[in-house]
Amino acid sequence: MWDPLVRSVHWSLAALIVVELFNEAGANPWHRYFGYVAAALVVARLAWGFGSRGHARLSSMAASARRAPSYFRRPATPAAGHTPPGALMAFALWALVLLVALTGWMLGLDAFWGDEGLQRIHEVLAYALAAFAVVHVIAALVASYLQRVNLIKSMITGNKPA
Amino acid sequence: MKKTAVAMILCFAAGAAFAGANCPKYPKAEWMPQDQARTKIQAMGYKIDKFKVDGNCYEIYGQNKEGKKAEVYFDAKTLDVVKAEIRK
Repeated sequence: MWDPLVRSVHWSLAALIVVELFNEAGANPWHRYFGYVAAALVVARLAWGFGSRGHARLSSMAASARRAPSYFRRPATPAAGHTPPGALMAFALWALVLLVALTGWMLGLDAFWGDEGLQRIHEVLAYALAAFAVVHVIAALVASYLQRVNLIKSMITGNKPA
Repeated sequence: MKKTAVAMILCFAAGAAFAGANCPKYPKAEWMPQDQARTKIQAMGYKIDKFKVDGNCYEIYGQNKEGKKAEVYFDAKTLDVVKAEIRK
């Protein structure tokens, strides 16, 4: 089961990442505002991960992530919550969203105003986030095929049979 | 299939993000020389921290007359302000 907060944060982040990649960064306040919204969503999700029970819980995700090495030897094993690589990917995507947002915010400080080095770091992190998101989408499709479950649908409806 | 399309859009979109502004395109010979452009931009009241060429634009990071942080894109021939953001 994916609870409503997990699902709404997931799809909102997906939409924001696509929007921000299209959204011009230069002299465009909306690029900044959407970035802050994305960071706030990740923070809310992390808070939920501490407070909630079930598959959203960070400690159960971390326990799952630690099983990733052995999981790759039997990749067709379905899971009711995050599969081990799925949990790892979620952590990686959240970390990247926070890093992109942090460097974006720093670019507005006096110390980094127009700083091309930090702009480049922000760009590289953003491209890394996009690349991870593409891998995430492909992995969801491949895992859906191998495990004979529609993972995309389960992230919409919330029902994820083990 | 739908997801593949999304993935492809993500790949293409990655190239679009950091374009700054849509300035009219001129042959290089028609661009205002950079030294002259800097001087004129300063005469408009801007303090320039960074001056650079961004696509078809001249772009500055600096401060406006009121001392507020400003990011401004200029037409490379006429120095019309094409796009600007003034921070509060």
